[in-house]
Amino acid sequence: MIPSGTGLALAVAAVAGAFLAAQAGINAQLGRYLGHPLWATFVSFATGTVLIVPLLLWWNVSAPGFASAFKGPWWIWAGGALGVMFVTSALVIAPKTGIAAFLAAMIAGQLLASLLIDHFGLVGLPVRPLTMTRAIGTALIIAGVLVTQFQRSP
Amino acid sequence: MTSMPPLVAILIAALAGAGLAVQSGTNAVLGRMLGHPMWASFWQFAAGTVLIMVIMAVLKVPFPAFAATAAAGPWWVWIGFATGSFFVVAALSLAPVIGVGGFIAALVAGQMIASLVLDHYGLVGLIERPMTLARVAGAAFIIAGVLLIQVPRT
Repeated sequence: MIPSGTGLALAVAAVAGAFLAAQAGINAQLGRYLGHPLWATFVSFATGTVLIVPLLLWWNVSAPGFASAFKGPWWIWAGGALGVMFVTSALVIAPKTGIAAFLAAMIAGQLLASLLIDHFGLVGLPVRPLTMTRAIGTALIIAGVLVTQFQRSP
Repeated sequence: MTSMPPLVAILIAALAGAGLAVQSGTNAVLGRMLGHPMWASFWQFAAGTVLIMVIMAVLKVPFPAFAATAAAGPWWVWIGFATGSFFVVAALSLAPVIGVGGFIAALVAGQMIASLVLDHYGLVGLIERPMTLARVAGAAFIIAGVLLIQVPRT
């Protein structure tokens, strides 16, 4: 199931991105039908939990080492809360702004935060100082967000 | 909530993206401590499910119209979770083949191109937002910026 060719791998990654783009719209519609956006977030996480179990079995993943994880810093457990925040804001905001505008702003926030995390070596990652290439790349992304946003203003 | 100013919506989207960046870091550490990255994904979905139930209980969100949605809603409202699970599997199996940088670049390219198409045709319940030159240029800027950031340092 794992593609060996680089081109195929890149194509599958692009398809995963396309699915993620559709996810916000799909979940927004589900929330509308179910009566509240939070129910769409619930369906997303509950079914995700159930779907991961066969994958864990299929890949023969050994039982988790809770003993060592409990000794780790508190923030290693924050993933669930951050995920809920992301899925909920995506399905509430994307229908208002359009998917492209939402994703553009989301990607800008993600990369700005990544640069800060790398630069200062936060959340257990190695320090990778900001380089000129990365700064220019970030400026391009922010320019892209602005172009996407403001062309629609009256 | 219906009249959220665009700037606020964009700022929340950027914050949600920043949360995703932090989440990649916290999940990486958690996965290492638990012994496998899939356990971090499992925790994220399971903890998210519990958290969203607590939030809905506090907010007294009424029980959803599951039966009515199943009867009246289009089939695709139920597949939002699959896009998330597909992403988790794609990330774990493709990143070793094309590198995390290559994966992210291809993912973002897929996201931006798909989002322009989804907006243009008003798919998955979205409002139609025509694909203009400015929007295409904005998406191109973002893809170029992501590519620049992923350039490996020498």
